Amino acid sequence: MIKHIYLLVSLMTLISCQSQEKKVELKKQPNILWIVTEDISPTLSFYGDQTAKTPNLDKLATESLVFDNAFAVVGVCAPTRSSIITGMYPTSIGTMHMRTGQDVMSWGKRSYADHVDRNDISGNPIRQYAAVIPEYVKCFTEYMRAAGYYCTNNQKTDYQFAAPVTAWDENNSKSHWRHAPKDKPFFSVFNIGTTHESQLWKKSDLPLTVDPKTVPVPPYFPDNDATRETIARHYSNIELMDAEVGAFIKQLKEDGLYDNTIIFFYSDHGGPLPRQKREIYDSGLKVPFMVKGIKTNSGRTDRMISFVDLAPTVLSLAGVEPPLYMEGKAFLGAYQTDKRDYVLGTSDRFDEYTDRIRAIRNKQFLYLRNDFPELTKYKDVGYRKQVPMMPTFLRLRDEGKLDAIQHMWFETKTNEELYDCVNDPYNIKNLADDPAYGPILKNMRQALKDQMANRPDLGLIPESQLINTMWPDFEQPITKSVTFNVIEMSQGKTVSLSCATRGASIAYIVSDNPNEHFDFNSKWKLYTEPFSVEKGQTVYTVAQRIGYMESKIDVFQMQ
Amino acid sequence: MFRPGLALLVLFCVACANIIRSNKIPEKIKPNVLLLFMDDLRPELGTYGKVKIHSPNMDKLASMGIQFDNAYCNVPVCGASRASMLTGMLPTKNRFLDYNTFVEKETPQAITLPQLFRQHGYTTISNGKIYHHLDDRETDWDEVWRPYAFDSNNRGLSPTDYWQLLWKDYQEPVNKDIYIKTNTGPAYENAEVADSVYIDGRLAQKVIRDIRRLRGSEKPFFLTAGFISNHLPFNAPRTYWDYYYRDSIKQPYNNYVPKNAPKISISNWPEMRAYSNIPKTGQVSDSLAIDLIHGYYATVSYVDALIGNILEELKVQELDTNTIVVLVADHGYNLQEHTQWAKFTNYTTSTRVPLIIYDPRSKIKGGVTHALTELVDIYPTLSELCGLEPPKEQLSGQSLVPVLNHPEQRGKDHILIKKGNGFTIKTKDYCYTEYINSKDDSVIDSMLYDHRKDVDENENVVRYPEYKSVVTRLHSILHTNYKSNITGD
Repeated sequence: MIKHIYLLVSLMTLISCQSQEKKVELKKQPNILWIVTEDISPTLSFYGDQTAKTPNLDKLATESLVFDNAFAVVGVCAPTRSSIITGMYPTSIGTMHMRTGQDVMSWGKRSYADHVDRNDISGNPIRQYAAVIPEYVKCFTEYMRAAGYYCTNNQKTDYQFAAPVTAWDENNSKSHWRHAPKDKPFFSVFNIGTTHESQLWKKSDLPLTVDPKTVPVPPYFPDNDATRETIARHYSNIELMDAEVGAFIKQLKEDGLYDNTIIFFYSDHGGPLPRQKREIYDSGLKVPFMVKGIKTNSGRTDRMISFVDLAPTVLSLAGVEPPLYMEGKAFLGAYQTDKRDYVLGTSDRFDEYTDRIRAIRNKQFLYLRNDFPELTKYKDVGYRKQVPMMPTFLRLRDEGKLDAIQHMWFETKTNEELYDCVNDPYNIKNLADDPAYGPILKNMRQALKDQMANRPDLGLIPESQLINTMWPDFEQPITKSVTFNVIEMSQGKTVSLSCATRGASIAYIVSDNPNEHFDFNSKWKLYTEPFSVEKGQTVYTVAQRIGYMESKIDVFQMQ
Repeated sequence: MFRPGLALLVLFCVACANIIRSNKIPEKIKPNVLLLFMDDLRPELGTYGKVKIHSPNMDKLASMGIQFDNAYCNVPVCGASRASMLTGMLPTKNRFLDYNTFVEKETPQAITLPQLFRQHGYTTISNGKIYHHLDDRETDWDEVWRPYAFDSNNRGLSPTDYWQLLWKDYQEPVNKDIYIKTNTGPAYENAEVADSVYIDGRLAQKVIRDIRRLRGSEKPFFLTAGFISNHLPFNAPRTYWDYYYRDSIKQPYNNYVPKNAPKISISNWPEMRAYSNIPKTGQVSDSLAIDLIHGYYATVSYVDALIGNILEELKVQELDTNTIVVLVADHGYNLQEHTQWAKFTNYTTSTRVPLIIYDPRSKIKGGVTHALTELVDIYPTLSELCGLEPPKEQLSGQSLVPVLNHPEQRGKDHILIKKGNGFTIKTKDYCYTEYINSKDDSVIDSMLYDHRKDVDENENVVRYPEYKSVVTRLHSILHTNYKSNITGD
């Protein structure tokens, strides 16, 4: 028994000295800032499209490594953001359907309607839910926090589950690196909504700063005033977004942090226009992406990267070894790995319409496997019909006035599609039936097969059945309460926390006040190791497994 | 500033580590084994994602050991499954057929798992239901014990017959009376009694006594706790029923015959119909269905509490650091999925089992593996973990030690499950069953469920053209790799 206490004492001192050592090392950890815009393709000057004037991004690009082959996994926010925050493919963790619930901003709405007027691929009705992902998968920011980073998100989350309180130090409309303690490096995310699809109609009363007459019109659109107006609105929104980027850069410089902060700029997926957003073509998945390092490589790279790579890459830059389970591979930092030959893309339910398409892309070719070729490429998604150019587009379709390329989107699919993205950047010439491309088709088909053989594809399961496995009997599981264990020490009391729900993360606050009322925006700490508590202090705890309801806040008073 | 202090502290800790190392148990001492052998328990546990189920002790065991998420029995009925697991041999056309299996008669030459341990100097104790029959292979054990069996009786009954008369163990006077008169009773009961009263409570007390007794023993032990839970009748103290609000209990959403299912695949659940409050034909009412599910859940929570007591005693006696604990069930169960109750079908509800292996020596705590495994793997696993040389040319399974060390392994390519004339091949992605005519080995009917997308087995796709090549492949595996199991040669 005495030996046991002796051991505990030594363990505790070991932990405390480790944390002191951490502080010393922290100085080596770089600050990381993500500026994430929404719904834009690489239609920026440094990708060769001069339509929008973006002086701030242009300047940043000259100091950055610009990626020419960066891809989202899904052409829509929530599924792709689930892969960004976890480093996993949405089809591997069950987050591929747009959308599961309404956990879009900050800590999420956290209530889920029993009935929505939507059916899965088998025709069974579905309900709103929060995806319960495998218990070993965490928001990668937890690993950052555990390594000493101060993590802030402002404020879109949209992970297909409510962001657990353990994921961020701050996660609301006021979150900012400026709130980080002086001795901590920060990982700060700002999401800009200005270029989002919805802003095509919500900003329609603002003046256009780009002339509709001069905008480029992709060949898959009928060239008319309505189309040009919408495209001009989008480029005008890009200009507004550029100003917001400029403001963040300015703040960083004012704070004297610009030179020792790594800055990422990217869009969460491709363009907002019809036949761009939601599509599993380059128009939906290919994104602008650049990273300004610290005194390091600017320039361009054609290295292929996927959004599953973001979580391990940020961990790698922070000096944290990415967990083995992560499907993405770090492309920068201490743990960067071999270059990838392929990126994967997936397409499942979008709002009220379900389909299933799987894609694989190498530097030149894009291959699609259509599981339901009898369904049209076009989905009559109600939300999209608000885009100002849509009524005209649909009217021309109904009047038979679209040309063959413009009409393709409204047609049913073939079993497979193959595009040469270098020579056909709009993906309008399907080469799958061209015998000259037979060997390439065969290779791409096999590559997709090999990639998918290594992982589950939860998109195969009818969504209603999937929900029942995540939420038994279609009810949200609740995270169990935190168990509080006190270890008596000679110099005070040390406390360890545990939660009986497998995969739950625990947060806590130590306070001198026994009657505090905390909410998600309180200063919760991520529990990683036992900590000491003084007599009379109160410990508040909360736990959450991703997709479960959070536990109630438990209060322990130290006698 | 704190550098010198740091160095001192590190030295201090190294010293501690040395103290621990010197306390380490010498290599030569064999680990003990505690086998928690469950009856009719499907993975209806909190740790298997069934969040409504109150099973904190089994969940805790899983959080210390390795949980197998894809473990299957080889025969979905008690006696046969137990014989198969404890001999490490697969069932065939002529062997391990039903509940009434005797190892002694069907595989007299086999060296069973407890026998192997006994031969290697272990104290082996059979508590409760391990083999189906109390009087099967009694020589494998230093001691065979079951609640009631060895109590004196004034009817001149042998222990096995006396146990047979009492094992349903109703406590409500009215049910006791019916039981004595008719040898049956209702399918469940919730008497207000202490945990120690029902038959499994008595079993747990005995196991706890054994642990206390074995602590001082110089010989390692192979100790078993063969629970009746979760077998019918679902008898559990009222307390455990009260863990569940009746209104929160739901019938399964797939209470229908799967699309295109062979008629022969659907059980009419004769086992449950033998209970007094169950209709002899047709479906049970929704209200009765809820009661039955409620009873099943209550029984899980009851046996979980008993397991908690046993594991606590192991800790109190300081045997937990040198005892491998295995929790496993003989097969799964149907709770009205596909209109079925009880077991003995080729559906996954009947065949998938909970399996948790806790080896205190392992560094991996709380691992979950999706590796495909089967109950015949238990024998080679335990013999390897304890360093015992297993018999040659007897075992059909493979040791799970590599999976215990690397839970991310994918496991076997395929396993065999046999129920009567239904032969099932389970792979990672598929579950394929052929019902085979025992006279000429022709296929009567078949079914294929695509577990990639239909893990609940709601649609038989065996005749869909897109699955033709899968069926051909699985048919070929069944009739090549498992030919002798089908023909009995």
